[in-house]
Amino acid sequence: MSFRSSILVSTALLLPSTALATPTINGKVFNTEALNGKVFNGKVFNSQMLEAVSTSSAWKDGAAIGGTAVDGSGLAGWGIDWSEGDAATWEWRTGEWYVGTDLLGQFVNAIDGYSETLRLHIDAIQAAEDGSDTLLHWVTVHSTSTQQSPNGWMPETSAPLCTDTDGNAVPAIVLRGEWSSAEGVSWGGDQISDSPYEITFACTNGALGKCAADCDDAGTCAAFGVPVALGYRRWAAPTWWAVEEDDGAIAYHWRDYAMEHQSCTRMIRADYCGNGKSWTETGTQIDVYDRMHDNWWDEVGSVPPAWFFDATWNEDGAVAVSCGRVSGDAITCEGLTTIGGPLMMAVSVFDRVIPAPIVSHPLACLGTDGLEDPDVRLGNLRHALPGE
Amino acid sequence: MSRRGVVAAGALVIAAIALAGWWFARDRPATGAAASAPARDLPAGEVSREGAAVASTTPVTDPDDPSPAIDATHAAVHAIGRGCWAARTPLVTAPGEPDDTVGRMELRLRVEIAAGQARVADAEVVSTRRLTDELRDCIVAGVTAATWPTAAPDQAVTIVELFRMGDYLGPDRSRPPPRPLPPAPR
Repeated sequence: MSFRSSILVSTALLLPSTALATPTINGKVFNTEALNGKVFNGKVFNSQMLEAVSTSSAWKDGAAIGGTAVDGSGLAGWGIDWSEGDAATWEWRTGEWYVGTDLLGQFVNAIDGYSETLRLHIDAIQAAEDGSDTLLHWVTVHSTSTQQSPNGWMPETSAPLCTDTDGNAVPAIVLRGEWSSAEGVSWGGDQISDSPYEITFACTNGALGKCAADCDDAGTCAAFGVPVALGYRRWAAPTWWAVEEDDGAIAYHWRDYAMEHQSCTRMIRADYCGNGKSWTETGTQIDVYDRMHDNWWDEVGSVPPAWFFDATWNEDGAVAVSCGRVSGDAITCEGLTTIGGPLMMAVSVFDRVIPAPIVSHPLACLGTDGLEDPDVRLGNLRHALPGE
Repeated sequence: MSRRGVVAAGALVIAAIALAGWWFARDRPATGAAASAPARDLPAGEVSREGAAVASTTPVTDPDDPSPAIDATHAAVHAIGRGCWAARTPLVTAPGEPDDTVGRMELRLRVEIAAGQARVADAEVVSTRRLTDELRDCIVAGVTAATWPTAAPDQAVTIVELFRMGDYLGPDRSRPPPRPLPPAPR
């Protein structure tokens, strides 16, 4: 089957809005400073990682909540607003109604392993732009004086869940399920739960958030704390795609963007081995393209030459990397226990990359985008480094 | 937006217009003698075999429009998927490891429709990701064995279905929980 010969026909076929944000800045973080949008890097709670948030812990002052779950890029469920007086009754609530909701999150100290439960408060919810289904959540974490650490009683404090490098609050997108922050295991960096009763607050300056956010107006989104929006809306319900197959017949595919989103997080973090370990250098500029044509490359061959094909990706990591890739580190997938995931190859051209143990697809040497490989979901160009 | 993005957006507009046209036309009664026939309610998806007299009570479908066939198949196979999920042996995993909600599968189906009944003539697993063998086998076996009614005309259609186990969880939107007592006034 050839996806490259895919065509759209007039059935219920929908494309997401065209994403922007290429080229973008590659970040070493998965979601803020460490894995998974769950790093709580405020000044007070430094080194604490948010492990899990269950919707069963949700409550909201002045309201009753029942059956809360992740729906789209926000929350949904039954709710009663007691301010409505005698008319107050259960209604199906969504999106912005959950402003003021509290949840309990389990935080683990990455250094000493100490675990504690802290309160997350949703301060504000707003669409990334008019008409967007990307809901941005501003979340604050609160501790209380009743919490004790091995070092004694902690003072009551609060800080934003997601911050930029200057400590300013940035929003998060609610994603269904949970991601692993582990490295060196086959599920490292991967989704480990797809339950709608588990919440991941994906900070918009981390890989999960950057890859999921969708935005047409870069200025508006940047003003709201969404600097990069690659548009792989994994929360979007699947839609039918009509695909012309090699024999000319049409097959109807029920497709979502979850695997494109997962592939994107591998790319953003340069998680070549698909085991959660990042190999990127923060600040590397990349230009993203994909099979579904939400993003497309158009920078190759610019004068002076500044952009190169860098690598192709799927949900399990890199499928292939540029033969001319420059790196100061050895990339090795040794020790990786994969579940059918591809291993990458690298061929030394400048004697600055390490020959890889497995050679798969030397596409980048040919200067192609690599999308002819059916295993590839997306790829990226990389901006030339100084002196390159 | 890139050039290809413009092309894709244009295709989307065309698809949306066509879809809207199909949507508004699909439930219109047939014209002529068939339209004047007495109305008769049929169960959803059931096709009468009494001839043109009741044709107006079934959706008017373009023989080349695969939507009714796709919709019926989609509903049928996901009912099977949901049943398999409910009947599964829950996967026991250590904290921090993938659970069975992340399982997913693409399943290629060759669906044949004849006289208002649909069946899977061929099923092929295209891909799976973290799906237990038990769930995979249950879904494939269930889909292969099932038949379901459809209003679609006789035809064969190829569908690649996506099964996401996480979709089979979630709150019941049709029934609110018991009403709690309001908070006591302060």
